[in-house]
Order: sequence, then structure tokens, then C-alpha cells
Amino acid sequence: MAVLKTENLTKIFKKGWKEAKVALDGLSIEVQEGEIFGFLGPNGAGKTTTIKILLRLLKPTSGRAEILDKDLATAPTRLRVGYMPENPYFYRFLTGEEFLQFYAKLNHIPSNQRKKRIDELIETVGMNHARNVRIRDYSKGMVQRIGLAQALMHDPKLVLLDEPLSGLDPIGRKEIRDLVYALKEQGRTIFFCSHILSDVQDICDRVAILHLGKLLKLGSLSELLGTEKDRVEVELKMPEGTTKESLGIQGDFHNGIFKTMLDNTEQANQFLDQWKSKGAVVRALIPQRKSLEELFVETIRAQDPKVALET
Amino acid sequence: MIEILTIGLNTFREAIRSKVLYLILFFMVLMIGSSFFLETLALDGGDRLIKNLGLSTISFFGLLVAMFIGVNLIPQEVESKTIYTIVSQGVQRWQFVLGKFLGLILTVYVNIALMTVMLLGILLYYFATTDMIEGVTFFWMIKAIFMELLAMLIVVAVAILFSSFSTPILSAVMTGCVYIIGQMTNDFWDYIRLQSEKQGTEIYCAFLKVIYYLCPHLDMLNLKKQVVHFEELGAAAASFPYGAGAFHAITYTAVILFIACLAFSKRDF
Amino acid sequence: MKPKFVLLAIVLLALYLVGQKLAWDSQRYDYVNNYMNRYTSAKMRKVLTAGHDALLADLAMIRGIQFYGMNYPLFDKKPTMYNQFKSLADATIDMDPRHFEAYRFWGFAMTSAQRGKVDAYRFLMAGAHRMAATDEVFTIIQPNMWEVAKDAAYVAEYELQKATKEWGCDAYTFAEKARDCPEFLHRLKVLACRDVDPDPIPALQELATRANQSGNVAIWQLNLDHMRRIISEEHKRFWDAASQAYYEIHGASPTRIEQLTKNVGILKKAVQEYQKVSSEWAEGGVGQLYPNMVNPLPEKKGKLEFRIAQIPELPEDPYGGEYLILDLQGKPSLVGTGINELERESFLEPINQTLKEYQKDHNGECPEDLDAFSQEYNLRLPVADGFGYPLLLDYGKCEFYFPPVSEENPPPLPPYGEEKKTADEEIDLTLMEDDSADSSPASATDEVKAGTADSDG
Repeated sequence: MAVLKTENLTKIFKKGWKEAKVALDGLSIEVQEGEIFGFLGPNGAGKTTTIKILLRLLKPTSGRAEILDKDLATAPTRLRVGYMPENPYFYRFLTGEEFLQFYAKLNHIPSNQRKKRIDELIETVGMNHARNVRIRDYSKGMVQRIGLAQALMHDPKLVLLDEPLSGLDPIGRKEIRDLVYALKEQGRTIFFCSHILSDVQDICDRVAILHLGKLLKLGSLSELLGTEKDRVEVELKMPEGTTKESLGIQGDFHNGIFKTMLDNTEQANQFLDQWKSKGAVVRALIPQRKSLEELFVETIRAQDPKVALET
Repeated sequence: MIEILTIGLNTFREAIRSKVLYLILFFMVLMIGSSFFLETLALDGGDRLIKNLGLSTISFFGLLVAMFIGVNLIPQEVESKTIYTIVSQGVQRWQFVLGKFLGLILTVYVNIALMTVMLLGILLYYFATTDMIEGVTFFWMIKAIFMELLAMLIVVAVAILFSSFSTPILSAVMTGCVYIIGQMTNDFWDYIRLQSEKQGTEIYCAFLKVIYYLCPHLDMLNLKKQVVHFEELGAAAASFPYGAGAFHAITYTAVILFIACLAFSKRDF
Repeated sequence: MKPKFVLLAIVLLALYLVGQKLAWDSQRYDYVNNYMNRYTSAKMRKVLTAGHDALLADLAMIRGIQFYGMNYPLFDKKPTMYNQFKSLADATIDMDPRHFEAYRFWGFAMTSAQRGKVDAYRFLMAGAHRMAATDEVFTIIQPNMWEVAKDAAYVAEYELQKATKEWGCDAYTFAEKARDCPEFLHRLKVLACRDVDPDPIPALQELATRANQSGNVAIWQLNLDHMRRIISEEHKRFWDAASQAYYEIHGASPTRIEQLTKNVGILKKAVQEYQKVSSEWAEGGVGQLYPNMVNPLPEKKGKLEFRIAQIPELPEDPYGGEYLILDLQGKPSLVGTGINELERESFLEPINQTLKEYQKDHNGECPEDLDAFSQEYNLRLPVADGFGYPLLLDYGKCEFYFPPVSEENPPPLPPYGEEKKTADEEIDLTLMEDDSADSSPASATDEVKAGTADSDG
């Protein structure tokens, strides 16, 4: 069952009289219930625009968007979508607990259950030690976690996370990642926006890659990466007197150690056989699965060769 | 309704925890306190000076609160993206705007209440030390401050309106302008009347009249002079249209808030 | 550094310095007041305060007080200083047209300059008018407006020495409109307005009305006192005319009042003179002679009534209403105090003197026809004296006399002027030409005739 669905979603921002910028160009995605959906793209790809449209902060120029089987154009406002913004800058003057209380009230949680619900959430995100500290004194990871608690306040089926891992230290990343897994186990659907690809690679079931408003690739990780997983990295200690020119293929040659990437196992076997017989010693033989990052770079390069990518 | 109330109380809490408010409050106390010393400089109009300075301070600093705190409220929420989370949890935009209005007006009113207590205290002390108790003064003061509360409704609503679609600095400037224009609509009307007596100014006058009808009539709610000049006459004597003033303030605020809600609802973030 | 930048820096610096110089030049001799004068109208000033004009007016007044304290001795020497001070005053009241203290302060302060006295009057009067009605909304006159108008009147009467007669009267008249206008101001107004209109009748009428309106004995008495004051002024006017006449005849000033009262010629001249004066305010100057209109001892809380004198419609009255009863002493109350004896003599003396002149003219004969006698000598014969004793003629001596006063022989007529009081229980200030009194001259001659007949027999 599709929790989130967009069809041909297009958004054009007008700048001045004639100039217009296409932020989203016919985006069609579908997020199934219970999955973690990675929504990828470099800065300016249209990720935030999509989220804004989903939250009805923007109106699409054309196309449809549905959340929980309800058309956004006609659906009631109370959609119960959890949302955690990118680089949140919450009410800094509130303590963590007051902050959650505010959202509890907004969600009509009766006052007798409010305390219990807040306790639960604080427990979930592990913020018990800082519940009475003002948010302005929080570290970035703590802010992310309290933001997540806020997004879960009304027990939403769908959680939109916008760059939840950006700017965190490794421990923070792991904690948030664990939280996301926990959410999945609770049966929630997670829409995960990021341009930090390694994070997505670890946790997402399916990903969509977006560039300049266009959907480039959409599918499960195995679909996207699996076909090209038999590349092999080879590292050999060459016998004395070998020169780089004599090797015949590209690679690093340094202090008698040669390191290269071979496209498939057959090629690798061939290469190894050829040089073992000449007295080379195999130092390492690493199968290379194509990373999401490379896929991302490749995909985008294919689309637009001149683009400068941040990684 | 609970959303409006929650957002309003949260806004109020934000305001009372911000340093700007305390700075403004400090200067308010300073100004009202200074009336105590200035009074000795104004021949025998001391009582008058305390009243004037107190009421002007209340009005002016109400405007300052609306300008410096009020115009930031909505842009700040947009900037910090808290608006996204609030909207994603099912709060409608008009509820958000009304909540902000409620919070701001609450802040202003609490400010005014504090100042009123201080002002009346100073007046009481003044009367006690000069052996002249004038009950009617307090009656008029309360009345003037009540009208000031109504005027603040308009000012705050205007601040919210501008901040719902414009940048804070622009909103502050516009709010200040509306305050000033609102205080002089009476004179403006005089001007229109003078112009309309001339030949060939029909279109110009019609244009001016449109502006006149768009402006809030804050001078209708400005009882500062009446406090000083008409307290001897008692309530019945000065046939000031209090009812009309109150009605104007409330309806004008309602219309402004409606426009603000509409503008904010149509707005793209 | 590139030469371009150096050049640019120098140009900018030069521009900056020129700008500063211009600003300095234009501001060096200017004061803020001048700016306000030059660039902003009164309306503009008020508008710019954005609803805080009352407060600004207060602050401007404080500034004005300081300015006055520092500079007032220079006001006459330096006109600019005075003008600045005045423009500050105008600015203050433009911002708050009902600033009571500001009017009074500036009104007082401006008089300290010789040039400012007329300004002060105008400023205060404008203030009184503005305070009375600034907005259409507030139709009620400011209760304490009278103080400003009173100050204006003070300036007109004392600072300006009544240079313009109407000003004092105008100011007091305006002050009267205020709700809280005190009683004494009405009386001051009556006195001030007599400079404009010397006719005593409206003044007396107004005072009598005020006295009657008030339930307060003290106020009643004060009004009465002012009426007396006006009457005595009229008396003085009359006696001055008489003294003048005496001087013309005798070439010397009179030393005693009797010298005037006993001489019919002098009195006649005084009457003519007085009529000439009074003709300025009354048509013909006839019948407007009232130095005898006060009753000095009215009963407390009695109703004062003032009636305009009527010319007696008696065809046989040969004097055309030119008769004279001088009564400053009032009704006789005690017998034998001597005062009323004197009064009797003052009645008798002119008559007897005239009688002697008659005798001289008619070969020592005593007049048979008293009507002809009084007609010829323009003399009016009283019916009775203050006690009520009739006037009698001793034909043998050819001398008028009153019977002696004694307890055993009570007066046959009611005391002089009494019948009006007993009739309607009013204190009547018109002791003259009243309807009832008018009949007396005609009947007096009859009485005298009867008296003469008695003594004959």
C-alpha cells in the first residue's frame, strides 16, 4: 500500500516577470508502507521543495500528491505526518519538556495523558537527562533528537526526515540511525531526505535520486547497485625490475606494489594468472560492490557532465 | 481554538523570555519614573505631566513592543522552520496567525498592565504628597488606558499583517507608519475638506478619501488630552463616542486579521 | 595603492568637507525654534507628534520656563530672543490648545517685555477662545477657562493701563462664559465695562439681578456695595459739575458741600452739565439724572429691584423733569441725633434762599401763589421732611419751616420714601421719579398751600 504518492509533480518558481526556475519536473514516486525511503539529490535538487509540497507549505504548479491515500488538494488538513526539518532551530527559549508539551497541546492530547506521552517520547529519543534544559543549551545531536520526538508526538504513520544526520558526530549519527531503525520496527514509514549518501546506503530500503528537479533513478538498493557488484580491486607485489609501462594496464605503481581495479572476475583471474607465474605475490584481493555514492555521481554525471558535485 | 491558545501562550512565553522585552520594560519604567522628577520643572502642571508622560509612554512602548517583537514573530518561525512542524501536525495557517496575534497582544497587555499599576501608584503618591485627591482623574486614566488597549489591538494586528507577508524591517517601518497615520486621520480629514473646497480636485479628493477610509482611526482612541482637559467635566459632559471608537477598533482588527490570515494562507514558503 | 583610489578618496573627502561646511554655515546662527518656525506649520507640528502632542507640549513648556529664566532680562534688548520665546509659546499651544498652565505662564512671561504686553493680551485671549471651543465634539466650555481670560483682563487693565478700553471688558465678558467663573468676576466685569459704556443703568441692573439670583448674603451684600460704588461715582460726577459751576461763579473752589447744595443756580448748572454728560448714553439726556437712587439700608436678603426712572407725565410740571432730590442719608431712623435735623435744614435752606430772592424781586412780598413761585425759580417743594412732618410756610416771617420733632407730636405723614417699601415689601433703589413718587411734586404744592392756609388761620 502506498503511503505517499506523487504523480507528475511539478513546481516552477517565478522570478520576476519572465524568468522562471523549475524546482520539480514531473516527479512521480511512491513510498510503500513500512519502508525506509531514501530521497537523494545534491543541494538544489528539489528535495526540500518536495517536502514543502507534501506539507502543503507550497502549492504544486501541476501534478498530484497524495499522503495516506488522500489527495493533498482536497484532504483535510490534519494529516498527521511527522516532520523533522533540516538544521532545526527550535524555540530556543523553551526547555525540552516544555517544547514537547507545546506540540502535545497542539495535537489535542488530553492533559492527563500528556505527561505519559512526553515521558515515552523522551525515553525513546534518550533525552531524559536534558529534559529541563533550555534548547538553546542543547548540542546539535540533542536538538535533532528532540526534533524527532516532536515529529513523533502524534504517532504518525509517515515520518519525513529532512537531513537528519547532517552536522552530527559519528556517535550522534549512530544514535539517530538506531532510532530510525526503531521507528521502522514500530511499523512507521520513513521518508528520508539526504545528500549524505553513506547514511542512506546503510539504512534505506529504496532510494530515489533527484537532480535539478528530475527523478533520475528509483528502486531498491539491490536493484540499483546489484548488477555491477563483481568488480575486484587487486593489489600485487611485483617482482624486481617490473616497470609501470610493462604492466600494460592503468593503476597505481609505487615501491613495487601495484594496485588496480578490474572490471570483472574473469579479467581478474586472467591478470592474476599472468603475473603470479612471473613471481608476483598477491597482497590483497577485494571484491568491490559499487557504492551508492558512485552510482549517484555516475548518474548525475550522465545527466550533466559539467556538474560539480559535493560529496 | 486550543491551537490558537497554545500558540498564543507559547508566543507570550517566548516574549517574556526575550531580552528585548525587558529592555523595553526598563525604559518604560525609566520614562514613567522620570515624570516624577520632570513634574517639579513644570510650574503647577505637575499632575498633568505625570498623566501625559505616563499615557504617552504606555502608547509608545506598546507600539515598540509590536514593532520589535511582533514583526519578528512570523518570519522567525519561518526561518527556524518551526512553522513546518506546526503545520505538519495539522494546525491551520489561520490558527497560527491568530495564535501569534493572541500571544503578542497578551505580551503588550501585560506590559501595559504593569505600567498602569506603576503610573497609578505614582499618581497616588503625588496626590498624597500634595494633598489633592482626585477620584475623577483615576476614572479618566482607566478609561484612557482602556481605549489604549483597544488601539493596541489595531497596532498589533497591523504588525502581524505586515509580518505575515513581508520582512521584519519593512513590517516594523510599515507598522510605525500606520501608527503615525492613524494618529492623524482627523487632521487628514481636515486637509481633505480644505482640498475639496477648491475647484477641480474631485479625483484627488476621492483618492484621498479612499486612503482615509483605509486608515485606522487611532486618534479616535486617543484620550490622552481628554484625561488632562476634560476630567473636570465628568463622564457625561464630554460626549466622546466611546462606543464608536471601541466598535471601530474591534472591527478594524477583525478585518486586518482576516486579511493577515488570508495572506498567510496563500503564501508560499 | 592605485592612483585612482587616492583620487577617489580625495574627492570624497573634499565633498564630505564641503557638506560639513554647508551644514555648519546654515546651522551656526540658527536655533531649533527657528527651524520649527520656518519649516513647519502649526498643523504640521501637531501631526508630527503622532498623538503624543500633549506630552510634547509639556516638554516644550518646561523648555520655555528654562528659557524664560535664563533670558527674560534680554527680551527688550534682543528682539530675536523674545521672538524665539514667543514662537516656542505658539508651538506649545499649537500642540495642546488647551494647555491651561502654558497660557498662564506665557501670558505672564510675555508681559516682562515691554514689547510683549499686547502680545500677552492677545495670546491670553486667543487661549481663552481656544480653550472654550477647540473641537466640535466638546461643546462645553472649559470650566477653568475664566482664569486665562481674567489674566488677559489683568494685562489689559493694569499692564496696558487700559490703553484699549474695550479689552478689559471683552476679557471679563468672555471669562463669564466659563462654568466655574467665580462671582467676583461678574462685578469686575461690570466695572470694567463702564469704561466702554458709561451708562450706569445696565450696570446697576445687572448687579441687582446678580444679587437677587444669589442666595448668599455675602454676595448679595457685595453686589449692593458695588451698586453703591457706581452710584457714588455718579454722585461724584454730579458734584464735580457743581463744583465747577461754583468755581465759575465765585472764582474759588467750594469748601463745604453746603455751599453747593444751598445755591440753586449752581445746582441748576450742575444738572445741565450732568445731563450733557449723560446725553452721551441716553437720548436727550432728559430724565436720566439719578444721583439719588440708592437706598442705603435695605433689609438683608430683601429683593433688590431696580427700576428705570420714568419722566413724570405731569403737564403742569414746569421743569420738564429737571428736578433734584439729593438723598444720600436715607430714611430717618433716630430722632434727635441731629443728622435729620441737618437734613431738614438742607431741605429748607435752598427754598428759603429762593424765597428771599423772590422777595427781592417782588418788593418784599411773600409769594401768594406757590406754584407760580416754584415755577419761576425752578424749584421743587417737598411735601414733607424725612420724619413725615409737612413743609409749612410762616407767612409772617415769610419763611418755610418744618414743625419741631417731638415724641408727643407724631408726624402726620409717612416718612419720606416709606410708602413704597411698605407697599410691596421690596427694597427699592429708585427713590425718584417712580409712579408713586411722581405724584408728590404736584401734591406737595397743594400741601404747602394747605399748610400756608393753616398758618394763616
